[in-house]
Amino acid sequence: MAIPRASRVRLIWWLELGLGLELYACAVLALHARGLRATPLLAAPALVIPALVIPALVIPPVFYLLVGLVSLRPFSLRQVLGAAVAMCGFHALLVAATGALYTIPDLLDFGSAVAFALWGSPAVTLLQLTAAPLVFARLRPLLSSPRPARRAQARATPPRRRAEVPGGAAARARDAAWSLPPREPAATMPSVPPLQRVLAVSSSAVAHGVQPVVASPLVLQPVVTPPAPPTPPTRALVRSETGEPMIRISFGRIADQLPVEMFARGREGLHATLRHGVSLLVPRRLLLPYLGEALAPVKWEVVADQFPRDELALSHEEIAGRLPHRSLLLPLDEVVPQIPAELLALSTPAANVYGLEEFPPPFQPHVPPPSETPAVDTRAPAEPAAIALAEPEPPPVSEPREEPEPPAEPEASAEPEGLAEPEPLAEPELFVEPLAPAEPTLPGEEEPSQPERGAEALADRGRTAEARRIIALLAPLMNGLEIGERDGAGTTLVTVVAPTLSEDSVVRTAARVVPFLADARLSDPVAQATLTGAEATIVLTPFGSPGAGGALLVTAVRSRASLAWLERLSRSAAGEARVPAENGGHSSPVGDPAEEMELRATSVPQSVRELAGSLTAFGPVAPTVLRDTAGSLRACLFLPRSLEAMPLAQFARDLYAALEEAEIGQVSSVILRVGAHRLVVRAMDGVPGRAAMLVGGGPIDRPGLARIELDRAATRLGALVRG
Amino acid sequence: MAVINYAKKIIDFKIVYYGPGLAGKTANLQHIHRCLPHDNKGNMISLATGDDRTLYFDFLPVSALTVRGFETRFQLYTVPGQVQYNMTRRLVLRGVDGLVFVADSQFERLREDVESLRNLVANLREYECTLDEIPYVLQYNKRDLPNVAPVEYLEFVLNRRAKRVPFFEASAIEGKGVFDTLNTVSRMALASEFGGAREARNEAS
Repeated sequence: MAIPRASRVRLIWWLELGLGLELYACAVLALHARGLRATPLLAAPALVIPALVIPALVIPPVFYLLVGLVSLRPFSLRQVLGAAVAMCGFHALLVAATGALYTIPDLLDFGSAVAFALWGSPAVTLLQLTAAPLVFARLRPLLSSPRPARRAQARATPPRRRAEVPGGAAARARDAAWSLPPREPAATMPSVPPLQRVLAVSSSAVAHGVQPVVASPLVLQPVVTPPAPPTPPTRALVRSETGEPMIRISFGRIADQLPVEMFARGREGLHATLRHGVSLLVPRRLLLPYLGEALAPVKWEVVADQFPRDELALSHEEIAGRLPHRSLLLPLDEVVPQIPAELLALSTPAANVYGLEEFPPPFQPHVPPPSETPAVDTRAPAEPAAIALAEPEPPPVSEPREEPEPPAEPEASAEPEGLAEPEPLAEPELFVEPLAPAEPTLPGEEEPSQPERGAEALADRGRTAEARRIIALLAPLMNGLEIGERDGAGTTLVTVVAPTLSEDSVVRTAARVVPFLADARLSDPVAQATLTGAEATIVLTPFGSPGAGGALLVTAVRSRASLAWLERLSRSAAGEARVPAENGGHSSPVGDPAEEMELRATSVPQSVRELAGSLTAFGPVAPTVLRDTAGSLRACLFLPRSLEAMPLAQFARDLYAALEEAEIGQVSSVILRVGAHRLVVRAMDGVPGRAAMLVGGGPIDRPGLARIELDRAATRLGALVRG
Repeated sequence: MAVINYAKKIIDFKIVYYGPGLAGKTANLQHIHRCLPHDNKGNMISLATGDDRTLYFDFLPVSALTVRGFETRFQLYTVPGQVQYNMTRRLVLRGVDGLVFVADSQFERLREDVESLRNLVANLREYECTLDEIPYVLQYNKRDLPNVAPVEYLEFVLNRRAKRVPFFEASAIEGKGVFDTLNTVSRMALASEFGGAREARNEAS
């Protein structure tokens, strides 16, 4: 059976005490054996003369009094006197024990030996003066604890509300460690724990039925109050003995901030301490400076004395060290109701709102009947707000459209600029192809399809609606980017292009990549492709499968800055608008089938193996070197074991070939998100021809590092090939 | 600064609802969107995360009355209250004409209110602007919840600048106080733009 923690603690204390006394005895005997005696033992009877006895009786108490004055905090005369008396008692015991020790080797009578032990040797006396305070310091918690029988008796004692008027109560509470608790009357209500001690309660608080604050030298015990209905927070004024206003906090509200290991009885002790009704007192003046910051911190030192010492397994210093900023955070909902309203009143003048009456309230709520209220789908807006404002009424399809207003014009200066675009964004000039005006219903609320419309028409209309949704999502974020809708490679391209770029170039380049997005040589359709060219960076994000007639979000910016943010933004937008019916199947491989067999794997040089080891951001990758039948290097791959090299090499070769002479300039890299993998196709630096480097990996936690490693690898690989 | 199109006689104001995460900024806009007549509002745009927290900001364009020959239109924005989106908050504040600080009245959220208000001041400082220069009101939201701080304490914590600004108790989810807040900050923006408050300040000085 495991020994309770409190018993272990006490056992250790007693062992330490015994060891200390043993050391004392050894020291005394050692001094005696080495002859460090001031006076021969035969002269001991002379010690009893008053002139010599008086210093022996006066100096230790004075010394202990000084020790008490210096060491006991907070200062209390009663505590100091008590400590001095206790240490004098220990001193007397030590003298008696020392005399007993002397009787053995010198065969003295006990009286002479005690007289000698009292003042016969300065070294021994010094030992006693040192040992007594040390022993007392260690025994102090035990002395402050009641005996088990008393504790049992106390627990069996009926509750008794005791409130004391201000003055002296707090001091007595601090003295709790020095004095034994008052004996309680016999038990009449065994099930209810007793009230041990009241810290401080004002008479007004008692009059208002406020629970008094309780502290016990043994354990924090609850104050039992008759059950009462919940009352609104009261500003009960609690004062300390000096009349200082105090804030009362339920102990249970701050208990979770205390380390459990600080309690001698562990969680058991914590639970016992957490009984309902136990409170702490904190001076109000300490909290006021922080209330403006919506904080109520209190240093541990302020409330430390309100915790029963025998329940603590750690020193106050240790406990304070384990608290954030050595403080407890008091709950504001308990503190604030106890703060007088006058202390919270603001004296600053009200802001001048003169002139408001000139303007009638601009907005009058109109609460339509429930059927009239439009549903707000906050996650699926149907249209850019600018369009809705500029063109509230969509023109009939059959009628020629009037001159469309540039919808972004009114908002351009008020909206924040694009997050991913660091360069200054110009005002959009014209839409390449302005979208249809807003439809009054959201996609989910569209009218039922007409029977005569075919499935293809339905898909087209849904796709257009989804494209509008994407634009709506991106429009306020990418102020200054041109938004349009184009067809490219049989796929609808929803384009968001920086005005400094040619949209035609972007679309044509994107169209080169579209056939590769669902290539069968990839394990999954491409979720996103990022092309970095000499003039632009393009992010392609399919929503729906391009091969199945889905659409593609094409975002193009000039700078690579915040590219990751732009990619994420595009994925979010496309994810919002994803067409669920189109799950993205594979299409046939793109490229010249005649060339598919020309690649063959060759031995990997040691330098390339070392290069593979340098690509740490991609996880473990294995190098593969592929050459054509003529022996020319065509591809160098660094792929995880889970990916097959040959089909990916052919895919990379074809993609790389498709992007030759791209409209946005030479494409230096293509990053593909394929399932959980990220594939990077890029050229080797300074290597002419169609040699490509392909690097793949799983989820990349450090894209910046990955890019740096890629650049280095491309440079080194190019140097190796050229060499 | 409001955007004025003299050719079309349109003036656009930008009102930003600022505050800590989950304070009820989006709820304000949703209620406004729900209750305004159709011809007074555009579509509300929100981009929320999976747990319905605003990822970027909400945007609701509304049109209001005609003042001195100008059609007034208000663009209502919220900011993402979550700490990590400070860049977005700062961007949304650009060109702001009126501010509504939506505070969560619950005791346990007061600290976040203070941090958010401090963040607002810091972000405005980036534009060399202060709260005293912008029409600005406080909304103490979620007054319908049980554990809310008394208004005097909220004032003590959040409205202790040199001038006390108007404040409103609200329960945005129920629509209480939402239009009072919006109308007041809108009128303050109008007064600031059309000279009422400015003249008054000049007279006072």
